[in-house]
Amino acid sequence: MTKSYLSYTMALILQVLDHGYRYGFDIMTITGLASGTVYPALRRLEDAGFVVSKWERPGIAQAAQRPPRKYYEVTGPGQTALVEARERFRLLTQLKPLATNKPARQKG
Amino acid sequence: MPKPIGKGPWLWLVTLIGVIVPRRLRADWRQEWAAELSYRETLLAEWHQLNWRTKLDLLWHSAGALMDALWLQPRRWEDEMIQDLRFGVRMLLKNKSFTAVAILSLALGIGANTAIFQLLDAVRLRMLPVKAPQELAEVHLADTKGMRGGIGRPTQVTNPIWEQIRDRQQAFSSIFAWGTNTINLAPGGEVRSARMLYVSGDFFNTLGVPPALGRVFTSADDERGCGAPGLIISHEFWQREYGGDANVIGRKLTLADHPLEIIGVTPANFFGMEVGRSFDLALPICAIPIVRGNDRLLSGIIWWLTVNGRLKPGWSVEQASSQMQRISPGLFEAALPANYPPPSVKDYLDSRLIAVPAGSGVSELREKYEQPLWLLLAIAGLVLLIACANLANLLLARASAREREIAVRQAVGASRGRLIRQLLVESLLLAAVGGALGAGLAQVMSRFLVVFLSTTADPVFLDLTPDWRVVGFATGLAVLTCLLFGLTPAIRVTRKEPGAVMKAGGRGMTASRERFSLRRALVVTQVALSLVMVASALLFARSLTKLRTVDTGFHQEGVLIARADFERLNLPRERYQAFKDELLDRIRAIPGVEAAAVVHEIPLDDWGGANVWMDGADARGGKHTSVSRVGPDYFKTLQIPLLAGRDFDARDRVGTPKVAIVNEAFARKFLNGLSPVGHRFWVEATPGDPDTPYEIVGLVRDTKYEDLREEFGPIAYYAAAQNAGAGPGAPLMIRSRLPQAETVAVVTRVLNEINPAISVSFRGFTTMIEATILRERLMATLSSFFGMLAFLLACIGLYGILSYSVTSRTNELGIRMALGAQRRDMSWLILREALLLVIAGLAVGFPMIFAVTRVAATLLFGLTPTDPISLFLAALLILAVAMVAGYLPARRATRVDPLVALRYE
Repeated sequence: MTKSYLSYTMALILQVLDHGYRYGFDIMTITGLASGTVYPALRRLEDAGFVVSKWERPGIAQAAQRPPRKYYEVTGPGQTALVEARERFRLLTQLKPLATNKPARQKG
Repeated sequence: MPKPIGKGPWLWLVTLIGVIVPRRLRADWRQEWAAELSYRETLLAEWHQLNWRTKLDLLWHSAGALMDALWLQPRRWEDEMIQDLRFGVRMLLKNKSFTAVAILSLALGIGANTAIFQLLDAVRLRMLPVKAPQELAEVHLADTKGMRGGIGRPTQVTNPIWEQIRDRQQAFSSIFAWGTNTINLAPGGEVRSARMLYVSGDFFNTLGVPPALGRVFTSADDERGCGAPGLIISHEFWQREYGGDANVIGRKLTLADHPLEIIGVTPANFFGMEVGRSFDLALPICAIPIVRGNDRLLSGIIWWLTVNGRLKPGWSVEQASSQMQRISPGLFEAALPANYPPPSVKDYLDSRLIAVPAGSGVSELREKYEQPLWLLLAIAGLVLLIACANLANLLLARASAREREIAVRQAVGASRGRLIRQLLVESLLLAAVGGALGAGLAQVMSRFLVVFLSTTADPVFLDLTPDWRVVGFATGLAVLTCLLFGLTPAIRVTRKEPGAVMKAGGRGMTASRERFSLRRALVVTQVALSLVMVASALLFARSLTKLRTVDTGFHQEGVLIARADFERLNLPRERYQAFKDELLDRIRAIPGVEAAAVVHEIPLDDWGGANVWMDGADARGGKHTSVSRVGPDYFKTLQIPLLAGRDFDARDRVGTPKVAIVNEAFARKFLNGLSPVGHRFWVEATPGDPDTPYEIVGLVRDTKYEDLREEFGPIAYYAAAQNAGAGPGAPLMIRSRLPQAETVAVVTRVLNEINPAISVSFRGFTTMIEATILRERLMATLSSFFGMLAFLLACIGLYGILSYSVTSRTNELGIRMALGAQRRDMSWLILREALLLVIAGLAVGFPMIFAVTRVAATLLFGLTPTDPISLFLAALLILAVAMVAGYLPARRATRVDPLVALRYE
């Protein structure tokens, strides 16, 4: 993919990540995108160097008796790309950042 | 408080989908998805929202994992495939002769198939290069029952019918008609012909064909009485005659003494509506009187226009067809010509118009060659199959050579799937290179085929630029062949227990029976398939020979056809006959010319027919006979024996009672074989003439009339000089002792001396007849070529397996020699194997022939598909050549030195 151009979906996901929604399923909940869209987009963003993925500390997962989750963070080049994308997709700037670091509640 | 780990079906789903994720990413991938899903599940449980709706939602989300997994597929290629490819290339380069043979046979096989498919694509599958061709439909009569007069194609209509269709139809957003012919551009002397396209005003706009230069016709250009309007030239004509000059618009071109202004040039890819033909010049239909007289516009009995339309949005062809049927009664009522033959009027009025899809245009080439081409494609497919069998055989041999390598790889941990993939990649490489070369080869071969199908009188024009179908076909073939020849060896070689292979270490008396039996089966298949191919090649070749040597009833060698046209002399009509006589006298006076005659219906080229009955019989019992209008000396020119009565002579003129000469078949059909001379017969009325009696003055030997393949039928010859309506043209047949080129030169000079404005075109009679059996020649030539190729491949296969057998049995052969076996016994040992393989192949092949050649029955002449001579010859040929292929390894077997052989490992 070309680094200078992000599709709207990719830009949206990047913006949401920047606002603190760091897990795949949280992104799906907040954007309403399907899992089949979000995950490939995350892989491409990662390939492009716009995001990095990290594993959650095992202690947290062990305490909850589940496997550690993978979370994503926006990198420096990702920030630059996001600034560009905000210029093109003005709607992105209207998204509110996440107040706390809690996952969004799923409706229904 | 710790929560239990989720156990929902979504986790199962993710585990399952994980299988297709590249192995090195799989664990991480599974964990990421499992963690997200179980986290969400835990959360939902905590919120007391784990109801069926949220569960379904989770399941739906986990299904998205499939998209994710699919998206990761290319990474599999990145690491493993590149590695496989690199190794494959190295292996192929290591074994150059094998690689060369494999690529060459694949390239030939794929090339031949693609070439034929490309032709089929061009004549059958491809749509016309116009805007939205699928919306085009053709309007024509449902059947030919009501059609009388000069009929070009059964799907053509007369100009009056076309005008009625244009004014009454409601199914098409726009509709157009078109017709073709050739005209002479030269002012005199040798003819320079141009292919004309006559179109109605909306032709170009309906098709959405824009001009490459200038403008195209509009409906304003095509109105009756338009006189000499503008002329549109084709791109090809523009390049050929004007060198692509950009200032061609506005220049004049003289057609039949009318200078016409060039107003436009059509784009390069547009060839008209007829696939296989192209055009040079286009004129509006209304302009045809300036080149062909008024006949075609006014006449209700000249069927020369094809009607096409673009369906209105939302209309289907069926709806259009029923609308055309509804308007038919009124339409034919209005278009009925005043002079239509009374017995046919009812049929004419009962005619119905229908609409059929026309997105791929019309094509005579398609009708003639579609079936042969499919058959040739099948034959070429067999060649490819044999080539694949050969390659599979070679790969099997190579696989046993690589047994230890494979065993070592397995021993150090390579999985079987991975090894098979590695071996398949090597095959795929071969197939890809062979396919690419083959596709290139196909470009040359298909163009060669087009040249083969073209005759000087009828050049074939086909757009052969490869489209997605051709590319897809070649690619598909390459992949298929790769699987065919690569899969089995790959599976077999990896099935062995590595330990056993390493222990065996190549030491053994004879090779394993099992692997050998598969290779034998392959050779048997090859022999069987090549028997089918050689037999069909022989059938087609013999069929062609039969056609060439068939008794035509006349002698065609040394006869030249000359069409002289003296329209430009503007002679009065009553002078025509005297002028023709003068031309003939001058030609007959040329030294070397033995005979010459006027012939309006050249045998095997033109035809005409009439309904006749004998004097005194009931007119209703009229039966069909072929008709030919000829002048004196016609029978002498073609050396057709006159059996009774007299030839036409100077007595037979306009105004004298009509006379005719008939052939034996006529006498048999109408007079029960009685001598016909002196009898009279009646010819049914035509739009031009009432019922007319003819007196039979002569009887001649039977001849072929329309087609070499037909049985002798009844022919009535009329005296050409008694035809008052004859035009200012003299179609002549000239028998000469001189070489053809010389006759052409002398006749041209003589006609030029009489008047330089006479134009003339020549054709050799034998060349013309040869052109009528082009289809048979195509089948014979190509199937022989393919048959030979297949047979060659089969022989290579047989040779391969026998020499492998000799090599792997060196040890055994040495022991036999040491125990006192004679050289003769040794060679017999190997030859016997060859013989058994060939006989088995023939046994399998014969039933196949009966199944396969039945398809070819309609393309054969004078032979049944199971012609014993052809089959016997084919079997004999295969047996003989196969023995030669077997002899070489057999001789090697006799040269085995027992001492060397026993030490050999």
